[in-house]
Amino acid sequence: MIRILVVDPSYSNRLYLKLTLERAGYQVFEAKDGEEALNQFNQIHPNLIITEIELPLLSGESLVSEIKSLTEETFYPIFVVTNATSPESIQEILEAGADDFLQKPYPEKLFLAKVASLLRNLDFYNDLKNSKELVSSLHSSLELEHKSAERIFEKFVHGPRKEVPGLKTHISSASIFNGDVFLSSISPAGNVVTLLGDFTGHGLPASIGAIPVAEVFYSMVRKGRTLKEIVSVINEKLLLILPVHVFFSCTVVQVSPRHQTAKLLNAGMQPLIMIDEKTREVIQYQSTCVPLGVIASDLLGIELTEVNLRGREQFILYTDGVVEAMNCDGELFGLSRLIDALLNTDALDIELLVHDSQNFCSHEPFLDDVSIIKLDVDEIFKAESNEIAEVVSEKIPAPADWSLSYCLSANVLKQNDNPIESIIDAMMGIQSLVNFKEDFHIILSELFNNALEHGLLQLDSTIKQQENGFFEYVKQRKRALSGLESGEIIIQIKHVALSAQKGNMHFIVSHSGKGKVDLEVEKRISDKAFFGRGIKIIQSLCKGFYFEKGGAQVEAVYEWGNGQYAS
Amino acid sequence: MSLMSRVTEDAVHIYVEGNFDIGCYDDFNKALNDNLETSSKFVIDLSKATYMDSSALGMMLLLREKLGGQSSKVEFINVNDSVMKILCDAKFDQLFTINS
Repeated sequence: MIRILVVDPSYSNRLYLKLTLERAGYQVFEAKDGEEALNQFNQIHPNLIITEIELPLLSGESLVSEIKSLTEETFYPIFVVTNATSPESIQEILEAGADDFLQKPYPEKLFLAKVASLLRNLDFYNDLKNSKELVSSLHSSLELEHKSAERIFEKFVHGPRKEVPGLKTHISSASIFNGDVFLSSISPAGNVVTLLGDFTGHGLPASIGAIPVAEVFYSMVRKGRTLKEIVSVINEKLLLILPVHVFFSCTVVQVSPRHQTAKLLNAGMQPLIMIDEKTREVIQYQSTCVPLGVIASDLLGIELTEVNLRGREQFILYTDGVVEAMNCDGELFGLSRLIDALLNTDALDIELLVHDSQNFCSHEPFLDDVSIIKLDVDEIFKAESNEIAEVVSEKIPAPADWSLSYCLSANVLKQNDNPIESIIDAMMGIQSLVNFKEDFHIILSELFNNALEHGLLQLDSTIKQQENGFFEYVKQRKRALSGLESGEIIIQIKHVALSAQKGNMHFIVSHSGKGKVDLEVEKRISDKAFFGRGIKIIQSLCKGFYFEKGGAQVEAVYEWGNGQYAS
Repeated sequence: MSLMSRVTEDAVHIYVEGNFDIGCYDDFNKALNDNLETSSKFVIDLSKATYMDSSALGMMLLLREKLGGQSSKVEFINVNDSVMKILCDAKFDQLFTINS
């Protein structure tokens, strides 16, 4: 029940007010002077106080000031009902904090309407106060949740899982969550794989996709999957889960100390930069495919760029936050300033680069997430023999002789045109050679694809050279495959142990189609062509490579040896 | 930035002025939803666009999706060099018809 305190020196006034209010359903308490009113107030905490201005012991004005100063945190409406007629005294008590007034005589209905109105204000005030408290408690618990999530993110998404050599990083985010994703790890073959990516936008919605990306990346690198496979799987996963308008641009660099090469992919990012530390030559690698999470992997046309390394190269991976940093004239920092800033420093220092871009935009905070990663090839090469060896020191059991043979008929190929992964898994099931799995995968995929695309389907690789030819090629491949009536591909894998630490893996792939893949054809292909590179890669990996039966059968021999890192 | 649309018999023409970014989202969405049923082709005129960010690229993907993934139904015209570079970095030239 609503409690009202009535303060008035006159007994008859109090009685009148009490009866009127009680009839209207309120509970009424009385005080005859200011002091008594204060005592009563402290005891009963009334919802509303009705007071006269002229009071004994403590004036109405002092009573109002006193109550208002006692109750800064809450709202106690005070209603002045008075005989006083001077505007000054009414003005003074209102200024002291009284909420409304009424001069006697007054109609009873008006009095009750004013009481009800003040109580409505009180309700309104209390609702507001409760919501404010709720919001602030929600806010602090949200902040706590954000902080814990952020910690998980920092550990999981932004930074290398293992101790990866040769990495220098600068990462700053525009909101609590970073839409940039930076992942780096070492594969069983001793390759350093680094990914820097950027989801559309920033903050929580942008960073939520980072978890599946990190999950796929780390588990596949650990299992020795190839870069192309890793990117395809990330793409498929994002295609499934991301809202249509969100996509993931990324650059991926895989440095292989054993082959002294790097494989690069730029999917929708600004150019990836490679700088020769000695000659200061700068090479830019433009985006070659659509960002991930937009189209299906088979249409994506993931073409990795292969680079031979001399050990003096530095790769600079960055998200657009830094090049799109804007100064007060609306001018962008831009790529050429970024390159100049790097070249101006002795050691291609990325912190100085960040400093330069901050200077450029007058030290305004960056509006977008900014990540810059420098990958020092020399350090990776130097680290190869010790650090990387520790990471990849997988025990290889004594090798034995064995062989596997697959015969894939047209009907099987129609349903599954990528059986390589399961074949490699079967090989690992017989003899675990995880450190060489990536090489096996490259060799077998190339041989299989050649047999399928050129042997059975008789596709013309030169299509790939035309503008957007890759799409056309993929289309033709699909069409030809669905119309395939007969033919088969036979895959034989033979392992011959050479010693306790060494073995030869023979990959023999033959097909029954009319098309031919032979050395003569490959010789006519220039280095720059979009096709035919596959055979070159196999030749560089294998110690033996033979065309047999007029090109209908190809054999590649790969020699593996344990202790390639034990130098 | 501002976004204006004009519907003709054969296409919806969308004109973007200034920065093509998240600020255009509401207008763009409206132009899209109002005409999705009746028009089969969208022409994005970027002659007055100065810049295009990734959220604008996202809007294009939304448009492409709503049109059933058929890229031929979206055409970019009057694309200047700086916007062209952004579209090419994202390799959107593989997804849409782009005319400078």
